[in-house]
Amino acid sequence: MRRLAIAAAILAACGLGFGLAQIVPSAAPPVSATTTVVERAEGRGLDELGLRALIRAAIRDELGAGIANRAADPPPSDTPAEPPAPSVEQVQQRQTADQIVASALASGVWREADRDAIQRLDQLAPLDWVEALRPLVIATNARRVKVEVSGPLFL
Amino acid sequence: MKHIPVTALVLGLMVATSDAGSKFNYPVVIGATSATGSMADARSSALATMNIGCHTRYGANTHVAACSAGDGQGLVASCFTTDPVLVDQARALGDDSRVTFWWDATGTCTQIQVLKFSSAAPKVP
Repeated sequence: MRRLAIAAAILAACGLGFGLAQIVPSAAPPVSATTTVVERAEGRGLDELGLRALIRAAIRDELGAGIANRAADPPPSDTPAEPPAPSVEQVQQRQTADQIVASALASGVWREADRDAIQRLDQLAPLDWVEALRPLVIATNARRVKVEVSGPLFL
Repeated sequence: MKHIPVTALVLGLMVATSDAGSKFNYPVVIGATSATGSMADARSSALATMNIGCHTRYGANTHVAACSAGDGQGLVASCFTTDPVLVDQARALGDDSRVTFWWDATGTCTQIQVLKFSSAAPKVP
């Protein structure tokens, strides 16, 4: 009977330790907390009061570990990681793209030569590509620019 | 001689059966804030400049999609998005899909709809 009670207590403690490990962030693996509980279970006679004491101790251990870990964590940052600085070539290509688009808008025509020139700018970062072409997209959607391109507008 | 009409009927039924099923054409149509059409119908259009499709592009921490359409009669429309959900929609486009996209005044895609359905024609060379 006593063995059965010890086994039940161990199982309960394992479950509790695992559950708390999922809820409370902890640098220590859940095994260590479980081990503590198991050692205590073996050292005592188990009755209802003993089991409650074990559970209380396990909760205290886990909460203590969680608080300690939170204190060690760096404060959360609201600002996203900064994108890498553009290379000189990327900056130059963005300027070239802006000039191509500005020239087309001034002339009122988007030609295949313009599209081909944009395609050759293979170092343009995706967001630079979008922002360089955006004025052209706005103008063509509003039908302010004549498109003399067979196929996609800018691909 | 009696068998000729029966043979013709059977052949006619076979042709009808092999041609059954809903079939719709989705040529490119461009409105004030949306464009739609199937890639297959655009490709097989008699209008040389009809086209439609989307393009996705990836960089450091950046996903971009651009959709573009030309109705073959001078109208062209396009939009960009960095919204991950819309970028995924653009990626879902298949050869036989019909795509519809909507844009706002800044040229940003507000919706991308992809239709993959039996009624759409397959793309042929």
